Amino acid sequence: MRMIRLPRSDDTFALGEALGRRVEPGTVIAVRGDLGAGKTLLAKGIGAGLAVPTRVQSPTYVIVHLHPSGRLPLWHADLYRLSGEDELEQLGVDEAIEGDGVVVIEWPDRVEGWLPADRLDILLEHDGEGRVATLSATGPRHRVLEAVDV
Amino acid sequence: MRVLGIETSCDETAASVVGPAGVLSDVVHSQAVHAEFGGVVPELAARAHVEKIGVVVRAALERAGGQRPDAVAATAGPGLIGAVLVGFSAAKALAAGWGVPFIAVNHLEGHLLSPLLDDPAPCFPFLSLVVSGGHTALYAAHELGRYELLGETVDDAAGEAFDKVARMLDLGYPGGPLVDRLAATGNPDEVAFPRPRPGRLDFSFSGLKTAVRAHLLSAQPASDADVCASFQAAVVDCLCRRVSEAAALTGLRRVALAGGVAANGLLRQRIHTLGLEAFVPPRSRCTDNGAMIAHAGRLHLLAGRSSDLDCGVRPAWQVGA
Amino acid sequence: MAELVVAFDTCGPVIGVAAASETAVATRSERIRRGAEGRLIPWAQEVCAELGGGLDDVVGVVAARGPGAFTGLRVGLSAAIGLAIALDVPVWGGDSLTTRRSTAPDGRVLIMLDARKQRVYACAFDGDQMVVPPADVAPEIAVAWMKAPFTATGEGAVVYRQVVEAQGGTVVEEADAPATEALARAGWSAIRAGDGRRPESLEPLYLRPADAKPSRRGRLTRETKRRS
Repeated sequence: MRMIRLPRSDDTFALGEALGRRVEPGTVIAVRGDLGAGKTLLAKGIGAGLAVPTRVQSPTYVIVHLHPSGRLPLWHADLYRLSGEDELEQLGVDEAIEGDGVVVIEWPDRVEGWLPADRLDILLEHDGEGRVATLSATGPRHRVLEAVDV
Repeated sequence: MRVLGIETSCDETAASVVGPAGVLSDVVHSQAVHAEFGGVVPELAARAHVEKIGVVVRAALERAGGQRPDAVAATAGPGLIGAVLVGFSAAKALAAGWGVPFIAVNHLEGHLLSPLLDDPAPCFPFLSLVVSGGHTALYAAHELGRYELLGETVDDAAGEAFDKVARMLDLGYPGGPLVDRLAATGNPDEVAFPRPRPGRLDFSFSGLKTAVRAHLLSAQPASDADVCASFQAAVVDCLCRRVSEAAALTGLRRVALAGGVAANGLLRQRIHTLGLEAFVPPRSRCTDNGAMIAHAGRLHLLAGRSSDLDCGVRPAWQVGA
Repeated sequence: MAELVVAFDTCGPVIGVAAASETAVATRSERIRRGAEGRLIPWAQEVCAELGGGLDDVVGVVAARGPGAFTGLRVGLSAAIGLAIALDVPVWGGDSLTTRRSTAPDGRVLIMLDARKQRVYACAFDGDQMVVPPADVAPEIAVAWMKAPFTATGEGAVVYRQVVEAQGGTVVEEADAPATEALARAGWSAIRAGDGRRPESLEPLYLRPADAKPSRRGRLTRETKRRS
């Protein structure tokens, strides 16, 4: 487990960007945190680190956005409103997780039992004016991300 | 030519018949089930759609005189996939059963073209501001099927910001009308919320949402009415400023509103103060409806375009793609 | 021209469309994770053509109402509702479990479909008599309904083969094959017997509530923030 202070919103983006440069095929990042904690901002940074040319917006409305054209395909999901696991299958997220893409999941609590055992958990919390991120790799494949240079 | 349009991309089950003379029927069943969840729950939405789709379609056909339509159009995306699939699958089966063409319609294009159903209607080219719970984008609509994206949200949609603020204030769902109503009694200058200006003609509402949160957690937050009024003023300022800038940039003098947030009272007022010719659809045509889908489908069919019966839904379909 | 019934089954991982006449059945099926909405209508046209007719000859539409994957089963139901309204014919809803009875041998039969989360949708027969109606249960519970020897069929019987065999059951060959043909035959009889209903009345059989929790947490203030 590793804690990183993020005093300015640029720092949240920069953390994402650093992760985006290091992610590998099959990376799964589960991002938790309250409204306004910077989950989508972190995802935007990951997109930038992956050189995704398309805009990384909040996927709340359609649950999943696929950005196919970066260094690796990026699946960006917001499961706040998800209610059934078969929706993930219809949306192709299950295959993305088994595949060569990178999956970033906001509000992963909805599918706790379905998340892969080996992933990177990130908790974003308000910390005064800034934020603090807690990174925990839950398996060997994601250790390198927990130790990312920022 | 009469077209049946079916829309089930979010939480309205809607069907409508549109002909040369305009809207012949327009049936919308709004799902009430989501209120207690503070947002649309996709599985509950899909369940309610399949329960109502037959009734809603039948009612739209009967109110239009019961004649067999000449084509069937349906939303194929963007939207909640489980919800979209209900109307889309039913629409294709209706088209096949009648032996008439099927047209897969982009939900956002449906919104974008909906002002053309009104009288007076804007002529191409015009600026189109599409603002809803899932989307916030500004287009130059040059002609049917040719829409130039001038700016869009870089993070949250405007309607999403309304919903999230409503959630913080525990007002209920959907947030838009509730914030709008409370804002009417508040002071829009009470709290100086930020009006972010990202690059190009883009929008950003995530920081605004965070600013509302920080204000509510401050030592002496303003009243809910003042918070709503100040928040709403910030959103509408951001939207209107971009419309003015887009008009200056493109030279276009006509602007049309579309999407659920176009039902917002302040936006409907302010859009007329920009020195442009503004087209504002009735509120019932801002929120999701079948008429806009029937109408978009009809225009495409008249232009010689229809879809194959083996096509699939497109949950993340971009306008013009 | 023959009178035809068209059946849609999109409840399971194998989806199918069948047309039945008095004497013949034609079927299409495929194991797909998604995309059923692109298959059903072209298949319906094909199976009708195979029986020498077209959609105009359809006198009733049949759908498997579930249980099964929520999103999937709604695709078939929606198509059935739409087709029946357009053709002005009645619908009949079967279910994805009991129609499989005819695909298994005589004797005691357990029908199981994989319901994920370590559960199955299951029902049990003794001969032609249904002894346990469709339910959402753990596979261990389902097999405990049965007295050996028995046969088990359906996708869930394949997934939980060991559980079935530990209880003295036998998984029938091709247990995961689609039962669309059986659904179409059952539907043909039901429609001909006058059991068809108005299309709007066709309802899913989920057996399981939506997994949705109310999420209102009250107004955000310094106090509620400290509590959370």
